[in-house]
Amino acid sequence: MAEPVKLGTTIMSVKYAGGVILGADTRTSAGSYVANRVSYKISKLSDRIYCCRSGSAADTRFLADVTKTNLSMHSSIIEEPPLVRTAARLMRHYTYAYREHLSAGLIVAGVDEIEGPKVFQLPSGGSAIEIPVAIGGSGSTFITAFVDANYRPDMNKAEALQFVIRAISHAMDRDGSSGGIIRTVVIPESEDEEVAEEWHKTVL
Amino acid sequence: MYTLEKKLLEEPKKTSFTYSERNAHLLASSKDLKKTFLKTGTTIVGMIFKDGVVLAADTRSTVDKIVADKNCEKLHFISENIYCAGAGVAADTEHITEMVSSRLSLHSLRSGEHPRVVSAMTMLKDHLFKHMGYLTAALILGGVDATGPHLYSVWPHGSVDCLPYLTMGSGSVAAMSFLEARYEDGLEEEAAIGLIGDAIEAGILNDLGSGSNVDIVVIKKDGTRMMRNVRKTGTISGDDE
Amino acid sequence: MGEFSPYVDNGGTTLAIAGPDFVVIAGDTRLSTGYSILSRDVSKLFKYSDSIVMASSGMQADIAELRKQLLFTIEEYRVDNERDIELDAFYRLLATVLYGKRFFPYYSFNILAGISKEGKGVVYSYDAIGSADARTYGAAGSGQELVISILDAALKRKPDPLSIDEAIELGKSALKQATEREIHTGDSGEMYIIRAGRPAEYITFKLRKD
Repeated sequence: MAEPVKLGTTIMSVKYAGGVILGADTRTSAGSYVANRVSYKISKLSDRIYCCRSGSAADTRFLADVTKTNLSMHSSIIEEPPLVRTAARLMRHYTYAYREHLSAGLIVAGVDEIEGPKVFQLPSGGSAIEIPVAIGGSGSTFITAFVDANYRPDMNKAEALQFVIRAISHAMDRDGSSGGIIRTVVIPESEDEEVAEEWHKTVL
Repeated sequence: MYTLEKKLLEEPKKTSFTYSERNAHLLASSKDLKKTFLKTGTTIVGMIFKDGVVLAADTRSTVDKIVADKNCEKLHFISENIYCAGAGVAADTEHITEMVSSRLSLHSLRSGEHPRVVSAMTMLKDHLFKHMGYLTAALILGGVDATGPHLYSVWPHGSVDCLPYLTMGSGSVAAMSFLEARYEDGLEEEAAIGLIGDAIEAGILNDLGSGSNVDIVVIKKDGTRMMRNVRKTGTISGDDE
Repeated sequence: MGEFSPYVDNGGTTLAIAGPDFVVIAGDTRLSTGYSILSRDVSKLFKYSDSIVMASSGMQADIAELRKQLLFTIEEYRVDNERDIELDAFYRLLATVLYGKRFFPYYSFNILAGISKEGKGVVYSYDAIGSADARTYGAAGSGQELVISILDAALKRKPDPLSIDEAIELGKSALKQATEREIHTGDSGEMYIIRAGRPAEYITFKLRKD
């Protein structure tokens, strides 16, 4: 059988004072071959909830699509924008039910009117934990200490964005399976501010 | 006597839920049928250019080290405005593209419009994902619809990439070296055909799984042009030169 | 870590055809591993003298080592016996050197072609551990199955004796046919035409490069 396409990856998400930021590199590899050097590893689940994907490209895309569909149906029923907690719970349901067949490490992050900014880490196996800053993928091992030492929950948007870009740059520099450029999604708490999907070059 | 039978005779009343021994036995006793499947050790390329999409492929199909077909078709018809280049097990790529083609023709009969490339892509990826990688089909899907030109690669496990230029198959590394060096946005048709021909030729000459001729299909808003055996790279370098 | 694997198959096809007073021996020049071509111009033929040529396919590194060991031993033979080695002794020597590595064989499949003391063309065909026999024609390597059936069809029940031109054309054509259908064979072909009391003649011809 052909080698599965993997997101050998660096992904992360942080809460800052006023919202959440998601970040990811853009390398997709099949074995040692870079199958896509500008891929999207951050998927939209609802207007203000996104997820970062690591592991099998096919499995994580499937999970994101299924979660997105069901989240939107749920949102229609309650006639409210969905909670980040709900999105994470829904996704956890699938990662747990199909845990034997899936290879997926996910981060669900976003903001909602009731609980504000939230970040959930969903490691493979079907668990989910709520934390202020989440990192994932093969590149994350290189930046655990950096994140521990430099993360502050009171960072403003610009500081948090710079923090995410620096962290992922360091991971991409050391991890062979991470690379390309850095994609970020900034989701502000305030309704007045737009969600910003951007890309950046590495800073080292 | 087989270990399994022996074990069953020794413990005739016990039921086991572990069939691992049976599976191991079946695996060891059956010939590896997979090796006899027709594989298209292949070079396929897809590219977006100024007026549409161009796809290309080599024409060699192999069983292990033996060439089974010197001039097979790897560019599969999906609809008038959509084609699909296939690498992997020939049966898988042919059946999967035929299935999508037939479903899309019903689809467009209902809607009275040309099918969309995303529809084809979704059908392909859902089918491949459902079979968990056991269908060995690596596909490059390209076409032009009401929303413009589109190009996707669909991998055997069901993941999808959307890029302006793509290659797959055993010759993809050789082909990609040409694309990375010479591809640019808004290429003219002539230049696009030249580049894609060179990319496939790199696969034909440098990858033993790829060989013989270059097939190209050009898909534009105003029509599709299928060109078989545009270059006969395999034979011209021989004694016939 | 992967397991230690000492062998690599570099592919390629060789053949030899003997006639009443001549022998031709040929091979392609492609060197490959898996789906990659390492070189389009590496010879599989080893001309020891004007009446002895050996063709080897299999693993290039082992073949190079085998040739070196043969040359060492031949040099000893020359010093001890004060004369050059002849075909029948070369044939035994190659068998002995190959069997000397019975439990860690050279990954090489050899064909030996030459002119016997009686002036007749002879072909010896070996397995990797030195079992050898004399034949009128033989083939080895990745395209062996294809080439041997072509030679069988042409030569098994041939009523009239084989002419040298027929042998050359048959050898070239068999390699071309193998190149058409076997992916590790190709790029170009080379051939030695060996005749009693004459210098060996060397020719090359083109093959498909895909």
